[in-house]
Amino acid sequence: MIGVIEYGTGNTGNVLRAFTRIGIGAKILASPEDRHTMSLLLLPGVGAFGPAMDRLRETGWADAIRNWNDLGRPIIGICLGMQLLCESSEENGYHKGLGLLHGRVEALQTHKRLHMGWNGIRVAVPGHESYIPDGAFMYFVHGYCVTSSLDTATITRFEDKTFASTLRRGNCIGFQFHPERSGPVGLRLLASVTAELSPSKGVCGESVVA
Amino acid sequence: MLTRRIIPCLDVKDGRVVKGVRFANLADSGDPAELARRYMDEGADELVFLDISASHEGRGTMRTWVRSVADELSIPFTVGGGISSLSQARGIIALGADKISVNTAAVRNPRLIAECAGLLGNQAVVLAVDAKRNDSGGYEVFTEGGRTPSGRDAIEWIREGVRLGCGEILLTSMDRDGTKSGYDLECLSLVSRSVDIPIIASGGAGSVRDLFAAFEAGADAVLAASIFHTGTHTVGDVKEALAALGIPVRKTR
Repeated sequence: MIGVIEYGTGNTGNVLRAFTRIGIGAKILASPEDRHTMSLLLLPGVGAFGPAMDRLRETGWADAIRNWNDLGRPIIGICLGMQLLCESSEENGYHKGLGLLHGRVEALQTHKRLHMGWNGIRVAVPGHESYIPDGAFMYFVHGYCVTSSLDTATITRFEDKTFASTLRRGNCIGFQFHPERSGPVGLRLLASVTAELSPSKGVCGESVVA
Repeated sequence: MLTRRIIPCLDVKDGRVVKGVRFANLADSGDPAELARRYMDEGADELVFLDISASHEGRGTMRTWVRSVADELSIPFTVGGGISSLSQARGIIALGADKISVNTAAVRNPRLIAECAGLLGNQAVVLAVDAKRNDSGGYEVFTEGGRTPSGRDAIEWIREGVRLGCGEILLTSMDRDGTKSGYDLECLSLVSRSVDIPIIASGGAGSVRDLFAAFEAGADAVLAASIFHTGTHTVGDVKEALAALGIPVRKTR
């Protein structure tokens, strides 16, 4: 069972729908105490970094997530969720992040200040092709990004900016794009990354997307 | 490279898609969820639904069909038409829509844009602007489905909307809407040079050439209704033709 972290920011409905579509059980977790029986945690998020990080601290999720990660258990962050897993962000001032992934979140500084729409992801470090479709198009919506990280798995180019579209350190993976809104290809990625992070077969259920 | 988006637009009245959408082999051609699914499978990058119900009862169907569409789609969709309060906007997003679009209510109460952007994020707020060319060479904003002149200059209004926090502009040319004579490229180019957020061109698409011209004029995305609904072109055909013309598109086949 996948636990989708509910901390008062972000639309968790479409993440749940995505897992339902690929036949993987998922539920909303309102309290960090509910995490223990989960096989994987998913941190969604839309909006600004600072208030979201505050909410994670207030709800006890910040400590719970770090503890989860220390135990080597798998977690996926999506969009702002990925950014929150990083070390820090400069969105509306300096904010410390959860620090599970290496990298600082900074403004895109592109002509269009929002990167919105479908863009390709390229596997930047060999080894990730087994569960990430190299060259696939995914749906992005963000104004901030991580340009440099030791944990970069895929990169994406927007105007003259190249940034990390997937970060991975151990069992912690962050996607800057929205696999749950990226059509069948995105759903397949969710299925393959869930399998990748759950080597003990059957924990998350079988997942097949046509 | 960021691809240019192709966005079919569906008008919904009393819970049913109207404006003559013609798909072969479709059990219920008026069902928003079924059409949404069809367009997604064809390769649409996003979908826009505009509720044009006049009656209160018609609007009441919104909750039902928005949820059905959300259950069907794994690509983003926008819902607009008559959204006049933050609680309405929040309700639609909670049902599973990715974005809401505001038009008339935002002109009357611009703070609505800031409120929605503050709660839902800039990316979730599309400012729909119906612009009509005026005698002095500018563009005036019209409201209430293009019926009422607002007296506001379109460029000024769009700039204000961006300041207030909208994440995208859906720019419809009242002069071209429904004519199939091509988008208003001059207006599009003017708006695209004025703001730093994505522009969706709307109104006037009759051919692939028209879509191509809109992208050349600075559109990030194009909205089209009749060329897809009549079955003349599929989204997939249009994308292939655009790719051949050098426009980066997301290929799905």
